[in-house]
Amino acid sequence: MISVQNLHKKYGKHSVLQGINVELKKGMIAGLIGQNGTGKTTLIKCILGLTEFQTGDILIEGKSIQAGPEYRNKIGYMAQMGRYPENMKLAQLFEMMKEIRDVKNLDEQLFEQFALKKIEHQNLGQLSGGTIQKVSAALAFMFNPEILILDEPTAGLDPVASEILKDKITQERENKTILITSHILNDLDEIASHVLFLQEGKVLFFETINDLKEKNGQQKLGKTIAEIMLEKEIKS
Amino acid sequence: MIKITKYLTLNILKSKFMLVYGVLLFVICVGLFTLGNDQDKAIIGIHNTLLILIPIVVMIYTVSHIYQSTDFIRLLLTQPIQRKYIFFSQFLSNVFALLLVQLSAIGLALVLFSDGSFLFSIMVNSTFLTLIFSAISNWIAFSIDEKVKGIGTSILLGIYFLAIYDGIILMLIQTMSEYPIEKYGITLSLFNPIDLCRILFIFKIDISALMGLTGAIMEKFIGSSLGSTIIYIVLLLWIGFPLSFAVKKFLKKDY
Repeated sequence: MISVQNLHKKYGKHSVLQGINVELKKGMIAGLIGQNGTGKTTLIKCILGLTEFQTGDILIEGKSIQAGPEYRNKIGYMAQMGRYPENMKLAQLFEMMKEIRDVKNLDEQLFEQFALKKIEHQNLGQLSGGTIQKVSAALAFMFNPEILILDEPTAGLDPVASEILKDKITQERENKTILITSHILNDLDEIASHVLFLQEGKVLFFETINDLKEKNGQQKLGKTIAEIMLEKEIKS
Repeated sequence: MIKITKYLTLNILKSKFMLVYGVLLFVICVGLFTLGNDQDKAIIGIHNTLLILIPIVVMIYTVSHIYQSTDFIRLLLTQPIQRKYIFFSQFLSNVFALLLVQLSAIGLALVLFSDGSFLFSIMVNSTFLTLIFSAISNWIAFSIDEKVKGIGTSILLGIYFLAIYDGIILMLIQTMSEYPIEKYGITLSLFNPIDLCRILFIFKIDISALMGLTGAIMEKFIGSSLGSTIIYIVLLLWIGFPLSFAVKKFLKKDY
């Protein structure tokens, strides 16, 4: 479980996150959305410990992330279009990660479904953007983490791979807390249970997708979000 | 940390750049040996070339390699490892790879074409230069977010240590030749690790006049054993300070 408590983050004088409070529980797939520059990436980076925050705290299973890096054993992170060491073989990357994480009960389903075994002796520098994305996805799920943070997971994936990944995400839902950012709202509509909408560094709403659709009388998440954003613009 | 260092070192060693660099160093060394028949002159030539080549290559390579690795460092930072271990893994892998290539290329040439008497001092100086300029590069790359600015700064700093610094000292000594300022010259050379390595080498080979002014002054004022001890300590500080600044920057850096 992820508990973000009154989180403030500034870059110099610019305040990016202004008092975020949110509880992500087991069984949730939360879609993190918001316009560009509203602090989505910063929030993810704070949870992952990639950047320090000024005030507030983030608790993972009740323990502050500031206590040390061990909490990251519980997290699988899929970065957006990560760049890997060019001359490292795919097999070496997985070997290294396995040595770091030291987990016995591995989940190699995506590794097999994406047929990564076939190319495990290729250098990572030779792989296409889509294949790199498959590698990142397989790595994120491999160590059976309780929390998954997926940054634009389907971007760059071909339709087949994209469906495989979406199936995997929904399949893992019961035992995990999953946070996804995506600009493809149709994808979120299919897999997410909740929407966490950020605006100017604050949580505008955090609701289940069904509640959101009901309130706005829409069938699709894309239209619901578009309507809400339009309303906000008219008000301001 | 050792595991990550191992994989990262292998990755760097397999790059084309390392192969080209190794071959280039070997060819330069062999070239200098075969051009003249005097072994001592060739060794001085090799040492002088290394004093220029190592700082520049190490700085430009290290800085650009760190910028290239940003995504991967970010991925490592999301793993359950302390930041300081990630820093040292990437620092050590870079240094190990550079040293392995440099020392084997130079070592092979010296073993094949000389009696090997200066092998050790050249190896020691190459190691110091690599460690020092790698530490400085880490400090630069983790302090400056923009790649172009970072590489630019490392090139400027390299030129400063190689040329501008000596130029300033030479000008100072010439314009103030009426006054006994040699002692200050010694103090000033402590601020340039390339000068220090040159002086160390002068103590081994008796050719102070050929190796630049600061070297000549240094030998005149301090006997070689005390002088070299001081120089070794200062060279270690030249590794320690930039490295600790780099670690500090890395621990606080936003990724």
